[in-house]
Amino acid sequence: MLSALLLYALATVDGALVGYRVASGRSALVDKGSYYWRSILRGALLVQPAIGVAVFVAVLLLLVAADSGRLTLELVGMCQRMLQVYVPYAVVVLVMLALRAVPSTDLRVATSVTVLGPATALRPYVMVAGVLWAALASLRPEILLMATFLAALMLAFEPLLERRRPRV
Amino acid sequence: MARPLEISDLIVRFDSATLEPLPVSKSEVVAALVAAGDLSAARIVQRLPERAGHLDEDFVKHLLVEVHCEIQRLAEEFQHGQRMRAILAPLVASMRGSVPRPVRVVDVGCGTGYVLRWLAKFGALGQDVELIGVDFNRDLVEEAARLAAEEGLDTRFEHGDALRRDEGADVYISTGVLHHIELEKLAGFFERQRDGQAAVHFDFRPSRLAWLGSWVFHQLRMRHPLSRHDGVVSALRAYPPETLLRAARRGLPGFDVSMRDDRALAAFHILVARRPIREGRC
Repeated sequence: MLSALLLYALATVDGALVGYRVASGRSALVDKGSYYWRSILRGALLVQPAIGVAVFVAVLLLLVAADSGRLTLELVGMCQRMLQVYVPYAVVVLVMLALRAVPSTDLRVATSVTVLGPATALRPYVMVAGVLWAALASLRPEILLMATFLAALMLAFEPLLERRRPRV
Repeated sequence: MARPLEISDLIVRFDSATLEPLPVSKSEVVAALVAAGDLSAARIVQRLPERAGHLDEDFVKHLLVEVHCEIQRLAEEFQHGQRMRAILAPLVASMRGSVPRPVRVVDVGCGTGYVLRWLAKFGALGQDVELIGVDFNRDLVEEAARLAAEEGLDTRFEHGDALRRDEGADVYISTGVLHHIELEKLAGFFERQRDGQAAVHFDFRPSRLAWLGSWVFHQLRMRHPLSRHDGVVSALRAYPPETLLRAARRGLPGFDVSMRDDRALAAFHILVARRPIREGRC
């Protein structure tokens, strides 16, 4: 249960950061604090239906499974293995974001150029690596299906948000 | 070796007397890029809409405003406003009392005026400092003025040649402009700032890895192919510090000219030219 909750929190944070990225470079105002906070909130909120769909698919799989007890354990195991990949990535990103609060122009630039930029480029690969690592633990069809579905959902979220972004 | 070309320099042309836009032949731009060996840039221009052989002016106008908005991310990320303030604040403080009016800072080639608007919003340079942005491109100036008005900023934006203003300036500044100037015109660019007390010009700093860093940054952060292309080319076109120093010393004799390296991964450097303060002067 804790694994699922942690995964939910990470998905929400990821949605928030996707919201920020989609908004960036689209407003030329100088003071964009509230603009970015609204975008972050929008990302965090819009990722909730996607999480809901993922939970729905998981519940559906459990309902149709002949051995739902075992599948539940395997889904929990899947969450744990996904966390093994996502938590280190998230820690690095969040630590860098926290460092940007330090009032140093050089430090801020360094976090962006050396870590946050590359981390953004790596995001799709990390997403796929997480579900692949999770799926490899149990090669049963339901888990593979769930993994494929999660990967598609995570990769599709940013392009979807891009398409539905509000006009500035 | 010929310097690489920036698409944004080629898709707009201005009448040298009136600074009004002139029609730009799409085939000529494409041919220039092909001749320069930049086929990817030629393809980007090839995709731009045209009217009777000329690039669609309205489209180009909106495109450049959009690209400048996107490129503003670079200035935000690298904190150009903060860096400019760090140099301007002591300069302005030292000029107070030595000029018989507010200290006038003119941003040469201000584009959409990010640095000036940032200074107006957060710079805290003082009420006795005038911030004026000037650019050849009327559309960018209008956008800068609109953005400043939206945030209620005390800045002024003018369409024209910043170095031919009747009022002149006490401090000329620019960000990302120097590399757009041809080498043989560089000293002349500085020479036309002689009426000022100081000049602060911020630009990319060339290095072996600059193009790579710029490529990675623009691939990750920019969306439009033009932004991605010109961002990398800007880093390739940037002048080494010794070239800028030589040109500034020729154009501004008697000024103290120095180059300040920007420590932010050495991606930028800042040329500072200062008229020496004479003894006995207030």
